[in-house]
Amino acid sequence: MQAEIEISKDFEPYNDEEELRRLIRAVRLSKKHYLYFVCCNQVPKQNELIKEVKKNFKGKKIKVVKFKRPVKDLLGELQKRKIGAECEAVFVQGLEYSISSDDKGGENALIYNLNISRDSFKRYLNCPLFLWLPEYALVKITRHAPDFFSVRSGTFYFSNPPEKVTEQIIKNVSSRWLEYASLPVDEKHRQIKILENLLAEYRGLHSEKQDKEAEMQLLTNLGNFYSSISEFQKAIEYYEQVLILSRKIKNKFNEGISLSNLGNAYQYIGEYRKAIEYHEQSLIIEQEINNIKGECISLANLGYIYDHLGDYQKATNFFETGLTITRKIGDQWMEGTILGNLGSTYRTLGNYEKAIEYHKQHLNISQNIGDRIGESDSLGNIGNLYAEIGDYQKALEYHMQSLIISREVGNQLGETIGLGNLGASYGKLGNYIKAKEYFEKALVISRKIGDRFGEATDLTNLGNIYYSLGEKKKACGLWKEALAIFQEIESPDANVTRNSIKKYCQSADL
Amino acid sequence: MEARGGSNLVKKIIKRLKSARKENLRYLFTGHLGCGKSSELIHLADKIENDTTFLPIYIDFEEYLDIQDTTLEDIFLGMISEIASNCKERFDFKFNDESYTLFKKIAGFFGDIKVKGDVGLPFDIAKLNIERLRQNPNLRQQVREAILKDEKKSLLSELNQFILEIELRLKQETEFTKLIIIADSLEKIKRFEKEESELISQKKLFIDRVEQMTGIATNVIYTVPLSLYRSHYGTQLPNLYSRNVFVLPMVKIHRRGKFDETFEIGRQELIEIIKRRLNHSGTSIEKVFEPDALEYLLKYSGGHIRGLVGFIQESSISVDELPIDFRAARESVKEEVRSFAASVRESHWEKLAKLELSANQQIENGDDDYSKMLESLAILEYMNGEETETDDDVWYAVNPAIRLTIKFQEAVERLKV
Repeated sequence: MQAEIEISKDFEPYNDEEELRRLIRAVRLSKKHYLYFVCCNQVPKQNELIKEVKKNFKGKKIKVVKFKRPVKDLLGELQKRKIGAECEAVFVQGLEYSISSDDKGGENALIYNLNISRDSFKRYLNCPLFLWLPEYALVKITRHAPDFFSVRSGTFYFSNPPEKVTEQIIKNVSSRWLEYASLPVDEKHRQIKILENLLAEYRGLHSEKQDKEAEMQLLTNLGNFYSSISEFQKAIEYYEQVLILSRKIKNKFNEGISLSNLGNAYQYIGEYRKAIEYHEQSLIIEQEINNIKGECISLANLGYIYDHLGDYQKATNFFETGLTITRKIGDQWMEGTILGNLGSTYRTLGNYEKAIEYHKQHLNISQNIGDRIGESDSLGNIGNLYAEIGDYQKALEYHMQSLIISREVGNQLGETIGLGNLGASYGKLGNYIKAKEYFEKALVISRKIGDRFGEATDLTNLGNIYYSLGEKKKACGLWKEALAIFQEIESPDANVTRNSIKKYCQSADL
Repeated sequence: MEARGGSNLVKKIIKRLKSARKENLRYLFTGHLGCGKSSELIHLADKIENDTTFLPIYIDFEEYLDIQDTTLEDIFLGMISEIASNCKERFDFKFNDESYTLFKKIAGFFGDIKVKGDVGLPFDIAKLNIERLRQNPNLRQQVREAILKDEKKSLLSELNQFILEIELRLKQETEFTKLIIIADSLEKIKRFEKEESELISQKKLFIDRVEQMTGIATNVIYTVPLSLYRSHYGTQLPNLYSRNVFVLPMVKIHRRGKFDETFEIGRQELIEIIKRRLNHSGTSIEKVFEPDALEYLLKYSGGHIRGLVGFIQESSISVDELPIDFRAARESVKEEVRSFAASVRESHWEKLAKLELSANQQIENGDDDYSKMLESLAILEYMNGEETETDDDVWYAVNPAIRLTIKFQEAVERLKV
């Protein structure tokens, strides 16, 4: 037995600059054929590094061969492209297309050929050959073509080891929605970039070294970030990956969360039926595994959707149930959110007293816990109440405050709602030009983020303004467009628009 | 005392050859990938030629075989053409091709292709033609079919007829009495007779086809992969091959179970090997290494020669100019650690830790996981070298680079508890 073990923590951490210096030296020193491996999981990073190397060798012939589809015989491909003696270094990228990430390697045609032609490379190439690969592909070559790997003259790592990647994922991923949803939008984009790079890094790992738990957290976090800046399609892509993965590894907790997140994203783009399905599935799982917070979220979301479908009774029921449970577990953010939703339903039902009480509670809670999205939502809701009772000046103030926060945190859904609300108040005040401007801005964003309900609302409002400005034909056109969307998403707001059309658009030329 | 029984092995083999009476010997020779097997076999061939009356025929089968598609016929053809070209070159032997009907038929396949400067044999199975089969699967297939379809003769019997004739003429016309074929690189065969798995391929060749493999009418040394020998099939091998499997171990660089106690004889042996290589490229060990860097690389090579060469190449790109300093040496070991950390199968960490903690540095016999780890050099095989131990005592150690991985250290900690 060995008394003392030197630990790898003693090694200096991986350092891209030092690796790059070594890589450049290898290019400079290798006057005949040598084989090198460069491990780098991210293709854009590969490109940057290659650019950097080339900068150091002006006049030197460094040939970059980039495959975009599977190849079977690297040597043959190089010969076909006549990459031979005139080169001073050859970089090969894109071999990952030829090496799948499963664990079969013996039958892989490329690896097979690398192994048998390893002596022919030096006959054909009189210069160093650098194979740029993601880690999993390198591992497969190590395992299935040990002879080929063992004749290398060097390996360069521009990727962290697997444990380090997992460690970084865990370090960078936040499960506290409240904290990151309230970050300024630039910071969100910065973090999304970090997380997406980490994901690319992670995807480069051999499947055996992948930590699925960390992967699900990372994907969920990315989905949430995109959702918080209202890029719902992107969010859905990530959530779907979590759903598939969680089902594959039978992780109920993450399955429930991903279903709920998917429902959430779909409800914001107006796909209410799909959203309900997801939330109902999520609810079953949350109850099964006793995830109370998850259950509350599903209930609140179902309430939100039924409110948008005009079933206020059902909506209220979901909210009330959710509220009772959430108060038991003492989750303030959840409580504030449900109160806000409940307030909106009461406003629709004409119960302004209850509505204002709930919205003010929501505002209070959000400000206390630093929930910026909740704060802007409640400010907007209070603004709406003022508009409802005819105090448009006050409404404008609140909507403006709400808009500022939405823009700050990049909440585009909040932004388009805010713009629409401002437009509506200006409209009521008779400032049609300003109203029109706001509605148009709102419409652009609603369309951009795929918010169908918002789009139809903005179109209706814009139609109203055109009608007031005397442009009836234009107004009717917009209303009809809006009606089609409202009908499609089964929104009760279809009725109002339908009435406008019935009332004002009956003559033949309209 | 030899560090790994390196030249010991050579001596041993020669001794057995000398004492062999009439029976033909078939030995197996094995060792890690890149442990210096070929150099050792070439050295053996020299010694045999100088010290005995055997004529060594060294064959690097990589020149003949497509290792992804090999059959016995390919191996026999390689032997025929190597023996023939060797004897033609050295003794200017000529043969009566009428008695070799099968050879003649095979030569027919190369009828149109005459290679310039080829050692033209009477029956025209020239070395370069046979080597060409390696690159030409279609032609190879045609030749194989022609051989198998022949009802009168098998290739093996014709090979044996040829060997008999050669040996007779050796006795009559030269100072040699018998042949010894040294068949190198057979351990590299990945697919034998279309078998999918490498281990099964090797098993099929050396165990299922043992009749033919030992049916060659002269002395043969075959190289087998260490992974077959240490797999659960391996125990049969000594019985099948003249009770002899020679293992060329790693150079013993530290004492058994004591990683920090350098074994001086082994260290010197490695230094000699490096010196030779550096002299060959016109430089010297003093110019290339700072002393502490050299010691560090020797220690972490685990006595694996190709690994050590790789370290040297890798470290030389970590410095702007030679010598390689300690930091650069560490850099190259770090890359190795990183490669192992990524490529060792998760299920293997515990077994590695088990070996580390085992009382006498042994692995479970016939455990295919261990044989895989030998193949990937995660585990290195050593031999004795100390007076207190018997000559053939084999032991194992975890590759020093693996000792530096966190996963391994964690696995050791877990096992200790």
